[in-house]
Amino acid sequence: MPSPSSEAVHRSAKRDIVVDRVHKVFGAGESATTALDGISFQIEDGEFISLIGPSGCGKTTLLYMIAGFHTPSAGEVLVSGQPVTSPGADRGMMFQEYCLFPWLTVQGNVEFGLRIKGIAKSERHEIANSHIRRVGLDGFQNRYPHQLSGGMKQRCALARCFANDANILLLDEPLGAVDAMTREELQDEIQDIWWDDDNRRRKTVVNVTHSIDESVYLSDRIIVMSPRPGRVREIIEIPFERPRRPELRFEPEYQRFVAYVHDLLKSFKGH
Amino acid sequence: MSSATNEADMTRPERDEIAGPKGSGKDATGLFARLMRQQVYLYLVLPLSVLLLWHVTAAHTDLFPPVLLPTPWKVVVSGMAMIESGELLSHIRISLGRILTGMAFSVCLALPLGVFMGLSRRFEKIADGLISLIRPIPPLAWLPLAVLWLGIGNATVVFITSVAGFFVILVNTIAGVKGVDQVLMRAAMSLGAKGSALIFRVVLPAAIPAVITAVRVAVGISWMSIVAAEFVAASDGLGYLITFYQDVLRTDIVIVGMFTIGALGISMDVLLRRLEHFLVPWHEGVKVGR
Repeated sequence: MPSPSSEAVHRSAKRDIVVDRVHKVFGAGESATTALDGISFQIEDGEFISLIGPSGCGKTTLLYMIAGFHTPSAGEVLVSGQPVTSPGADRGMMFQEYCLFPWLTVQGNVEFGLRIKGIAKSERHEIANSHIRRVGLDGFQNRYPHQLSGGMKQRCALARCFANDANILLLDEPLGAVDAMTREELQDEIQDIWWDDDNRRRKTVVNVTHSIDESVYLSDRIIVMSPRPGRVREIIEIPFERPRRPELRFEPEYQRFVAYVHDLLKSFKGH
Repeated sequence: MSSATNEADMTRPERDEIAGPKGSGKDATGLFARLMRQQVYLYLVLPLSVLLLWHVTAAHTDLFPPVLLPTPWKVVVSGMAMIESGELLSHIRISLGRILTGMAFSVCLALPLGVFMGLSRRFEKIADGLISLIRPIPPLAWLPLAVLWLGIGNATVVFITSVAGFFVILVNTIAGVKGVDQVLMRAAMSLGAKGSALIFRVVLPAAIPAVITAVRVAVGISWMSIVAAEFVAASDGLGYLITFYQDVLRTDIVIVGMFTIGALGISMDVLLRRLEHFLVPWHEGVKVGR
């Protein structure tokens, strides 16, 4: 249970996501395993956060709690000051697997959320098309997912996610399965869409990743987690200017951050 | 088909496969047509051999008396005569009508029930006991009761074909609904879908391929059960035709009836495949995998 003082912090503005002493236990009795052990952090409005850690650190479980797919065994997850009880359109989600609806075309997939919201056809079309163009899928509107390459599928998922205009984006390793070149392209696209959508407020992004490079390149802050049970080990601020460009990767300062996160993750091996 | 054309059919695709660029889209239809021709040729090898063996046995040996095994030619002649007289067509129309009515009943009953059972674990538990008990009963075991309740005629035959199709469609609908990829459900929920939108926009579309496959299987089972049903409970239809002419030892007409049922079975399957292709153009790609 949160104390009255922490309650005051939660309700204040700017704190978009609050994870407050969250525990998660899977199973019961002797087979029970603690996946998350007292996780606390806060994410500000418009921040780009990466969750990184070895497998078993519970980063995806944590993301799914923010998404509303899992509930904490103890503690609380607040989004915009409200406890998370179910999934919702305010938190867009991209998955590692290509999870486009196979029975819908690219157009149909991108329009899915807008259709649920009851937006009129012509407006829906316009919004979807602008996002399809933006991710470079113009001309593929009538293709079905099985006719697309892996990279194109994730572009479509990206467009679907952004077309729905959620304030919070939860990314569950969406770039884990695409090839290296496409991955870097998509990283830049995610950053660009998140960053210079200038007529609106920036979105808050929580990105679960295995890639140290990706976390340093994209994040304002990296939350490094250690495994069994999952705990927050360190929160690292990444100070580089926005928008970041691929040349940044060759800067010594950038590589210093990569090396630091790398050593931190390596240090968990001994436990 | 002469042997010369056979040979041409067999060799041409090979040559073209080497000459033509395989991957380019423009040649795909031409290549496809040629491959089809090649396959049709392969399909015909075995039936033609059986036909030949049948002809030799019936016409040139004394193994079977002609009344028990007519020659293929006699069957063709009888078949033509029955088509001309309209007798065959009227039986086809009657049996086909019964199959379609039976399918309509079983789809209308099994589909909603299957969706409910797939969606609600509680409802599934309530219904599952009774259904598991009834399911192993062969459709034809319902015949005696059906005749007593519904009498001789259409109603009984339609009832039997419905029973035959019902459980296949039910079981596959439940499996299709339950088998919806959880990641797709999560994706939909994150896009704001809940309640009936989840059911109509995710669960049902995802289950359609399983349902269509089930209908195809159900049609097959219905054809199997309709012969016996019409034999017992009707005075028309292809099943009645076969058993009637068995009594008068017209084996040629019996065989005409059998081939007709086979041909109708294939035709309906082809039509349903077409329908599947039309309704779920994405499914082929899903089966093949990404």
